[in-house]
Amino acid sequence: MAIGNVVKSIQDIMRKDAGVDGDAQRISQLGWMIFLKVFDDSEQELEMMHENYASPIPQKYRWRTWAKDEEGITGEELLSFIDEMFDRLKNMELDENSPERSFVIRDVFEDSYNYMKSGTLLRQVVNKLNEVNFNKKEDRHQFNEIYEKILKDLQSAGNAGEYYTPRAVTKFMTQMVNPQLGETVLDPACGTGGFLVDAIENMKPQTNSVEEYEILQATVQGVEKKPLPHLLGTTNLILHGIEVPKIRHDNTLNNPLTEYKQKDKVDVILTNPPFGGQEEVGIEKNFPSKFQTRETADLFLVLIIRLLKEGGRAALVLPDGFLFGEGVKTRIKEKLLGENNLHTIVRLPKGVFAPYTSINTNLLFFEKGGSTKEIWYYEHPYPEGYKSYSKTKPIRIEEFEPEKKWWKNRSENEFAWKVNIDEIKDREYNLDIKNPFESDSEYYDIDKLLLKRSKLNNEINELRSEICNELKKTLT
Amino acid sequence: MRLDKVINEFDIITNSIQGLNKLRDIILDLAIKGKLTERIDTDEDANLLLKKIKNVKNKLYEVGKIRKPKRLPELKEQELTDELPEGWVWCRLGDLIHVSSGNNLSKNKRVEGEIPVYGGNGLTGYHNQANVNERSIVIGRVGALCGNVHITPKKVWVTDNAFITYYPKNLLNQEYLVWLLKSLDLQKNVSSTAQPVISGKKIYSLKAPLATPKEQIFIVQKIESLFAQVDELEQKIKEDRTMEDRLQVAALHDIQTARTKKQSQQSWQRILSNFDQIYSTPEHIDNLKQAILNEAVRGRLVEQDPADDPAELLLDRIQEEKQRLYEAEDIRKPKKLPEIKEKEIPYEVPAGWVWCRFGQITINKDAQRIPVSKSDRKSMKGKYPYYGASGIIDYVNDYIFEGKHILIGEDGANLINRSTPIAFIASGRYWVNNHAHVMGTLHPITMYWLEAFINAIDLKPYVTGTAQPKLNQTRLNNILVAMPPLNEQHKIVKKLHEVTSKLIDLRLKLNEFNSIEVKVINTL
Repeated sequence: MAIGNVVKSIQDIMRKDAGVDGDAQRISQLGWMIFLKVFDDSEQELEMMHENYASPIPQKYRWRTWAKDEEGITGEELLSFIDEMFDRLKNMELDENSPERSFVIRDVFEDSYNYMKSGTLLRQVVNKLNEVNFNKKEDRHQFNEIYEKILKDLQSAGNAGEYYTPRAVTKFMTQMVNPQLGETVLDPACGTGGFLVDAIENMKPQTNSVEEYEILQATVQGVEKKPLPHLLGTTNLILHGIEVPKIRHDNTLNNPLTEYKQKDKVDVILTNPPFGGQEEVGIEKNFPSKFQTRETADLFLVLIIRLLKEGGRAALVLPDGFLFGEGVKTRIKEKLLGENNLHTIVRLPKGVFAPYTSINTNLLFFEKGGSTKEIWYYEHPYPEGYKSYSKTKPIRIEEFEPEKKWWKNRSENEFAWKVNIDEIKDREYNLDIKNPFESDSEYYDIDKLLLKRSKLNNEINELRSEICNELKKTLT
Repeated sequence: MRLDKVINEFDIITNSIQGLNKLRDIILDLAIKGKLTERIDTDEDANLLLKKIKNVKNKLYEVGKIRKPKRLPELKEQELTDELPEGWVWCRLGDLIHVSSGNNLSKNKRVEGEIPVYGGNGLTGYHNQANVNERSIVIGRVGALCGNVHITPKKVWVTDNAFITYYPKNLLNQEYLVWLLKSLDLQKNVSSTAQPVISGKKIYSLKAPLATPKEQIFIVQKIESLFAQVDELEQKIKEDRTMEDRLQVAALHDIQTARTKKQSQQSWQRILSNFDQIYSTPEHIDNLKQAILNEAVRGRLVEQDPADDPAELLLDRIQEEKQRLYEAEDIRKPKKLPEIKEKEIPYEVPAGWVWCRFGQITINKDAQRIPVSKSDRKSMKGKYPYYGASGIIDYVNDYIFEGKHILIGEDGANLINRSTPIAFIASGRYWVNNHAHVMGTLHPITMYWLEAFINAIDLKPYVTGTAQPKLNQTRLNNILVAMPPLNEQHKIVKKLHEVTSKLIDLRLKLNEFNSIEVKVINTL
């Protein structure tokens, strides 16, 4: 059966189960199952490479043992087995000698739950999943796409300002920041791991040996506070070849800013912080008083500035509200521009995150250290014929070709303009600056031009008389 | 330079960047001579001031700090051409200042830093050391811009290609001194060797007007405020030039994008009613002419008349006539030209028009041309025009062609840069060399149509060679021509004629105006 239909069939099966109520639970259910299977497939590869590989999962709970055989346990027997498995895995006793991968397993099962109430249906789902072989390159590639679709569908379950960032956007941001092998890459609000996956893909071509591959494994990090995205992010990284995904299950904002020391600092930060959401009361106390706000995105920016090493690079998504906002936002912008080089702002048109929100978003790129002398703006246009983006017509990576071409060799044009820091200071750090380029119809409007010109001529004549009168005085 | 003249021609002077630069010179000169400021009653006499300054110099010499101040010649009556305001006095520059070169800083000794380096032409880079630690007046000594005057920041390195200027700081206002130096146009005193150099000795003997002490400050203020106004004016004039160009572009765009007859009329109407605002330089007029030609060859200059015989019939008639002439042995056998393919057609033409090849509708008479060398022509001087690639190049005493023909340049750079028309009509009796093709047509009006058409289109696809561009007979005959019905040819040519003569008039007037402008500025 074609892979595209696998997920659909699974979802159809689950709909029949009384215990699974709604999209969020369906995805949650799929989550741990996919994780177990993906994990098992990755172990198969590891076993081929390392003779002494020992699985952190007890033999009877490994996917290959209970799930692989089509005719394996089912019904009530399967249900109790699954309960037992959950119990054992989330309560694994671990210490400093335990393999890192065991912690990953325990974390996953601590936060997961088996919703399905019918063992028979569960077995049907398991069998469907077996139709996908993650070690076959084409299958894995296709599955990645399906996985992303699942992740996208997760958006309807999101409710704290979190949105799955379209792949085109994460790819573009990652490519422009261009993390290099050996650099530590962090997404402090990594969600389902989109940026981290793009960073891995960006650096994979630079790995030419086992040692280099291990460096890659060790330097990609994320933090995610919500359990389901955390699970999905972990699975996502495993799918992309990370043996021990370094995604912490935590709220980055929950630590006082001052507790982050030099050893916590990283070379690259790529993120789409949740915005519009509000953090719980008290979290802002972790930040210096002049930056205290409950607006999540703002707190993240202050944190990002702190977490970057000197010379480190960052790219993040922020709404228009940040650009023109005042008060604490002004102070944050002052700090951002005074201590970092905010060199580029790419302004995206409405609907990039459609249909879940239509707010205007912007991509900010900056480097820690120095200060900003000028900011380049780029207004990303809709593709020809588009009036907006939609679920069926999302933003695509190909649309960013002009930006990529322009990036290293910048000049002002129809879409790009630069603004000097003095002007920004004059505007009191209002970064919401519109494209000064006039459209065709304005550009060629003769009557408008004539009006402008006659105004100009009046000014010229006034100036002339002023100067002339000064000189005339000397004749008298 | 007479101030009343300047005021009379003020608008002309302030219409160009050149003129504004001259204006600045004029303002500086007036200000430095006290003509833009008022006397201050309580101010000290400049004579007294001068004595004090000379005293300081003598004291420095006595203490060994400077060389013996050279005795500068007394100012004679004739040298005092301008009258100075009451209380002022003429002196020599050497009475006020003395200069000495900075220190050498070769390129390889220079280290990237924050200290500006001043050389012969002004600011020339940055170094990590200073040899002067106070704001100073620096005069470029060597180089193309020598004589330039700058005030430096506090920490600076002055090379040996520039002078540091020493003067009694408590007796002369620094900014006043800078303006004074600028007004003296030190570059005029360059010694005429290969490398422009200013000698301290030479500039010491320049005569300078010394203002009374308090007035010095007012002079500086006056210059600064007037210069600021001139700067603003310059800025606006530049903006105006840009506006001019934009209007040009917009007008052309308007004409070219008009799709319907009505739109076309509207855009022309808009242009005509604002004509002098849009077209104000000879180049603009040329652009307009080209735009009009473009419209003409696309059939947008006049209305099509559905009653006209379609041009296809005309084309057939011309072919038949050429065949007849051939059979009557009047002309050579008409060459068969390649069929016109769909994708070759450059643009859509109105109904009733036809696309054909140049050779189909013309009778080529190149075989009758006779080139005559320049030296040979010396002995042939006469009254008949002698034509070359770009028109009449001489007059000779005989003719080889009679009647109307259309001439098209065969070679020369003009084929590419088109500084003069490529196609032109010759009539009467004349001679043509072998640098211009000669053709006749069945109907005279077609000749004028072809003249307009060839001058309108881009000939690059037909011209060969870059160093020596050439349009040979074969390629000429292949040129794709859009031909309207005969009646329409008449109408278009007539209209073009009307418009072109108006444009030529306008162009002449503008040229006149331009040369007046230039003359006025030059006499300042």
